[in-house]
Amino acid sequence: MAGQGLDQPHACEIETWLAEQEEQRRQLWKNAFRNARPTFFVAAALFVAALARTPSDIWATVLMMSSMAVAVSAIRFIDPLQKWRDRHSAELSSRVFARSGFSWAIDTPSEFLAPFEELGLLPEYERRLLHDYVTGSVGPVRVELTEAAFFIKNRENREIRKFLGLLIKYEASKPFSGVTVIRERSGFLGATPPRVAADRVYLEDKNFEDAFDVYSTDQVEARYLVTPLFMERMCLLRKVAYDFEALIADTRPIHAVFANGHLWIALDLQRGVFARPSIFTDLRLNGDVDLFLADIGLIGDIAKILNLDAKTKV
Amino acid sequence: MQFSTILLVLAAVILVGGYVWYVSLITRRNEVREAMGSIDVQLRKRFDLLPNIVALAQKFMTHERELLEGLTALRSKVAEPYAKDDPAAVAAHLEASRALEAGMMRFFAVAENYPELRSAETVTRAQETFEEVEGNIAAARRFYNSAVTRLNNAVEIFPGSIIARFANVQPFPFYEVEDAAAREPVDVNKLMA
Repeated sequence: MAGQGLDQPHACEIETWLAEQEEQRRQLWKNAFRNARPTFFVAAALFVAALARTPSDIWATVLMMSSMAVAVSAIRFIDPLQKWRDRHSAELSSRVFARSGFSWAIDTPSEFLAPFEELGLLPEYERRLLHDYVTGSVGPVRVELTEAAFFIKNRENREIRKFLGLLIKYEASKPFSGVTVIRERSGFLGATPPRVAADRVYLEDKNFEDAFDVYSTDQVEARYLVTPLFMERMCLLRKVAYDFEALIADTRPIHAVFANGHLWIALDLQRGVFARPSIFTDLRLNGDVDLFLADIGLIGDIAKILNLDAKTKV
Repeated sequence: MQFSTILLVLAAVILVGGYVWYVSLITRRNEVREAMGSIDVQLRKRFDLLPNIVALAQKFMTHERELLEGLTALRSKVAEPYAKDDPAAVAAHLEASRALEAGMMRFFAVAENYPELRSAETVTRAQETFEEVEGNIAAARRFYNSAVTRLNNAVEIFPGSIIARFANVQPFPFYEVEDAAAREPVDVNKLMA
């Protein structure tokens, strides 16, 4: 059953709604094919006419290309399906997030990104995409997040993606006044100092030191926040959040900063989250809801793994 | 190349290297001083809790006079100025702060037997502040021990040991748990018996 992560009544509700949506999807496809039929007939006629001419005849080429152009133009009949898909996706997000105790909006306020940029958590980019702005609480810990993608042009003027994942802001339970940066290592030549003027902090956990660099404006506060148990938890989070392909891509998957009373995290998952349904597959069978719930679960898992609601010194 | 030129270059290398090592030793000793200062800031927050608590406790804990007087004495000892460059003085200061920490924890444990004292707002707030300060002290302790490790490595490993003797830089004590019982693993069976 879809939505197995939800409790029974909500899972049934989602099932019923998905069945209705699937009916709509099929109807829209039928309409699209029906509307496209005259276009396909014209394309087929042009194709047959092209075949009837001798290959060396210029008109054969013109008719063939016209036939292809007309056939391709039939794609405009999928527009209603694309629009329907966007509405369905918004409705699905709204329902699943609400059932999980979060609020959701498709657009992210532009001011949400500014602190991440100031704290040096983002790569250099020329174009950005932000969507799926989620707010809520994981236990007593307030959380805000957005899905983000950043792109930049390389020397060949080709656009490459530098980041695809989540930008998350958790409320920190411990009081602190400075800035402490935790960055995943990108290798000896790739290590660049953080944007914040901070000193390197050397900590005791060898596994953590091999994976992360820590910088802070206050050496004592850094150790107050990054306790031995916190270091173990960051290493565990690294294992939980990423699969092997992402790690060997050397893309610095996790950056975190303690600043302004919050823990700011940039998770470069190298994949989209909060699944967008496909217009080509049966909505009841493609597991979108379960993937959705797994991604929502990740938000809570991060807070639990890092023990963000703890007021104790560990 | 003449032998004298080679000797000159060698002497220059040794002098420059020795100076660099000397600078490194002084820098690391200053880091230890900075770390010690951080600990003192937190220790001060901790023992500033004491006067109000002891004044209130004296009204209720009439049979715990020895404990209260001991706490007051330990507080005075920790508040005494000490030579931050003298490892023996630093060790004595750290020992006194450890004793004060143990005394305060014993006080809060004993205060559990006095409901009127336990529920007093002063004591409740002091206990919360104490716990928060303990977190900061633990962090300051880790910073201090890290700085001491770097200094002691530089002082004790040749040729740093020679340069340290000339510069009068000595190894410093670590701020660690002294109570052997605290290091023992907890035997749950004994607790449950």
